[in-house]
Parts: sequence; structure tokens; C-alpha cells
Amino acid sequence: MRYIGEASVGYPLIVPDEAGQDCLLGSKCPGCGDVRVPPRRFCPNDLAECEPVHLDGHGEIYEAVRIGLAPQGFEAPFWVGYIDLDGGARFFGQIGWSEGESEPRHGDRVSMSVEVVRTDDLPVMGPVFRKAVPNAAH
Amino acid sequence: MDKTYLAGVGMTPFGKFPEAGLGSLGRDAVIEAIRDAKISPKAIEMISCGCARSGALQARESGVGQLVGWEVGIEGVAVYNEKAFCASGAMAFNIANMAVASGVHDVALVVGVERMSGRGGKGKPLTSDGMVLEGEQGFTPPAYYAMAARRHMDMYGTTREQIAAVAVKNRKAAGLNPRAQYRKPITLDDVLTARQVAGPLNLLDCCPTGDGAAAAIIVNAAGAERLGIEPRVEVAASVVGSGFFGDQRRDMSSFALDRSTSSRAYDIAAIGPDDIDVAEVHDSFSIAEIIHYEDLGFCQPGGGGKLVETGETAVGGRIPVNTGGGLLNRGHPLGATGVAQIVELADQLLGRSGDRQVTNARSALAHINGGFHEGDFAVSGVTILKAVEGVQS
Repeated sequence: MRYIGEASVGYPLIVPDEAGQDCLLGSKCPGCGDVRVPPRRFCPNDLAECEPVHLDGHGEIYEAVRIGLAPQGFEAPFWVGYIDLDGGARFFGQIGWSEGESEPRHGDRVSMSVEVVRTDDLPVMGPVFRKAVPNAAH
Repeated sequence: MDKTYLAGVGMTPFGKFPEAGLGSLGRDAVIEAIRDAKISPKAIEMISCGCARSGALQARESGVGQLVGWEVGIEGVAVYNEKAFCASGAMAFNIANMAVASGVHDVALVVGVERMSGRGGKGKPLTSDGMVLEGEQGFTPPAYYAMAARRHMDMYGTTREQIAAVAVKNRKAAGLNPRAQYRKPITLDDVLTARQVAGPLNLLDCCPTGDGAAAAIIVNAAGAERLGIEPRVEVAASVVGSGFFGDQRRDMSSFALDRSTSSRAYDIAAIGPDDIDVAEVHDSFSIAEIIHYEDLGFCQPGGGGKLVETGETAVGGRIPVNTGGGLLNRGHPLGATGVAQIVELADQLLGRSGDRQVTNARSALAHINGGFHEGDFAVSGVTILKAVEGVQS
């Protein structure tokens, strides 16, 4: 089993936090507070050395689209989009959607689970963002 | 800096030519440009070659410019090979223009070439070099533009029909261009009912892959004098820029990078968007052309849908855009496109565009984007051409 990041940045971007919860691995600038996923060693704004940060994957959909013609290694249809994570970074990922649900759209609150996102040869695990159920966290 | 001029241009037809190679495609475009300029290949002092995917698609990572030079007997010269995604040809043009403007060389050959019809994953969208992490999760360029389309529709009320109108308009123009890849007329209904690629964009909203090459010869006054030619098209500005990667939460209904490169180009050329008579823009996907109208200043933000709907950007309209058919229909052999745009605009300024000729075209703009990086474009390029004063098209 592989995780996203291993084939692109060279290491898994899904890591457990102290409580064992799957998180996205990012970086935060101690100077300007800029947050990035994947993490950066130096902040692009001030070249300060960044600190690792764990993001729980809560955020808001900036925009989402349904993929009808899939790239190699994927099976259509599926939804993807940019998520504005609560920590500050914008992250591209898959969006979970089931027939009968209202379609994902700009402004929807989402939370993250880690699921298989690619199955062509060796399955790849990655974040899947789903619309948050109102008040479910309380 | 010296003024620079186009001495000659040429291109192959764009399409699927499995029997052709990078060398023969480049050769055919260069021979046409050399004959257009009425010069000998031996007069060429440098080659600048744009080819984006020669390694992945043709097992030739380096030296495409040398290969094309070898085909036409140009040797012993400086050769620059540029890889800048879909803007590779435009980047090669920019390099050659700088070299000639600086006086380091007086006569430069630009060639853009790509061969894509033999690629793996036929029928699937291309992935993108700068978005490997995103690619692990299913990213493709049409998904990016589909998100831009949804933002534009949401923010400005741009309609699906207005977006589809770009594809119909550019196909109509391609019907007048014998070198375009797709020329058969299409209707709004054809676009709207085609197979979905990434909602709301369908197959006819997306540019094809293909094979082809284009070439241009750039000279300065010293080069023109030595060759005994009188160039009729001035390169008034050639600007490239990389993305603004720091701004993660960018507004995707407008592309800040293109606003930056076009603003710099207008300043250098000392003209504004109202002075442009004809333009070539990067319509890799139909929605992109609408956004480019706005970022290039052809209309106000949010006005792009109406601009195409009312026919203002069609041949015969106020500001005709993509008279050669655009990437959507002329085709998009990646490295060739940026130079093919120059060929189309030079022909327009020289009054030799046949049935798609824009009346009295004197100033022209070419715009291109290339690749992605951290959510922004990797490259934007804008070139402005002007008919030399005193020369009638």
C-alpha cells in the first residue's frame, strides 16, 4: 500500500498525529505563518526555515468538478477540487460524492478521510474530502 | 536594444502525421520560413527551438534544435532548446528575440515542433509536469479549466452556451484555414451534447493533441541590411513570466499572471488593448478564451461571455480572436503552437490570410500559457506585432 506523495515528493503526505488520527503533512513559517501542503523547507515569502504542521483536513471547497473522462490509472466518474484547508493552505484532492447527494460546490464545508484514490496497479491511499454533516461535530 | 522584425514565417499543417518525425516536421516549417524570407539557411546565426515533450513522447530529450538544423543544413551556430510546457515555442521566440534585439546575433531562426500522435494513453487527457502530486490524485488540465469555468459562471453569470460559443466560433475560423486540424463546422448543440471530460467542459471544449511545426526568422536592422530584405512586421514586444506561486488562494475566474505579462507587453509596445486589431490567445479549453479576453483588456472582468456571444471576437467582429482556429481547432502540438500563433498574426498583418483576413490589421497580440505549478500557470507569454509604418497590408 502506498500513500500520496511517495511517487511525487518522495515521502507520504498522510501521517498520524499524536492521537493517531490521519493528517496531511504540511509546513508553517514561524515568521509570516504561511502554511503549505506539501511542506516546504524554506518559506517562499521570507526564506525562514519552516516547521512541520499536521492538518486535520477540515476546510471549505473552493471549487469542485466531476471528471467524466479519466486520466490513465483512474476510473471515471469521480469528483476533484481545490480545498481551502482551515490551516491556510489550498490543496487539490478528490471529493467524495454519492448518487442522490447534492453536488459539491464552492463554499461547502468538508472533512477528510483517507481512502483508496487510485487502483490501477498498486492501490494508492490519499485524502477524500466529503461534505460535513451540519452539527455532526457537536 | 535594437528593433526586431519578422523576416519570414512558415508552418506545416497541424494534425496526425504518424509517418513524420520531429526532424521532418521542423524541416518543412523552416524551409517555408526561409523561402518566405528569401534568404539562405547559411545566413542563420542561431536557432531557438521549442519542443515540450520530446523526451517523454519521442525518446529524444535534448537536441531537437540541432536535429532540425541538421535537416536543413544549418551548422556551426548557437542552438538553444527551450522546454516550457505548452509555451515552449513562445519561449523559444522570446529567447531569439532577445538575442537579436541585443545585437549578439542579427539573424535568428525560431522553430517550434511537437509530435504527439504516437503517445501512450491515447484518448486520455495529458497529465502535467508541474502537478505530479495532484496527478497522483487524478488531476488533468481540463479539470483546472473546468474549475475556472464554474467560478466564472458563478461569479459573473457566464452561461454554458457562451462558453460553447468559443468552440463554435473557432471551428468556423478553422474552416477557413487549410492547415487546421479540425475544419468541419460544429454547432452549439454539438458542443453541449459531446461527451463530458470535466464538468462543465465536454470533448469539443478541449483542444486535441497532434503533430506539427512552425518557424519564424527574426532580424534586426543590421541583419535585414546584410540580407538585402525589407521586413514588414515589427516585433513590438515579447514578454514571458512565471507564475505567482505565493498566492495560494487565488481567484480562478481571472489569471493574475496573464494580467502581469500583458500589461508589461502593452507598456513596451506603447499601445493598449483597444489598439489590437487581431489576437491569438491560448484557448486550450473554451472557457480559457473568455477569461483571456478579460485579462488582456479586450473587455471588462465578467464581460467575456457576452463578447463572444455577440460575435465581437469572430472574423469580421470588433476584435477577431483566434482567426487561425485556435488551439481548439488548428490543433495544439505543444511546442509548435506559440510559433504558429506568430505565423497566423504575421500573415494577418501582411494581408495574406485569404478568407479569414482581418481588414486593415496593423497591430496584433499573441498570448499563451504553459504548464502549472502549485496551482498557477508555470508560464505566460505575450507577443505584440505591428505592421511596419508606411507598408500597406
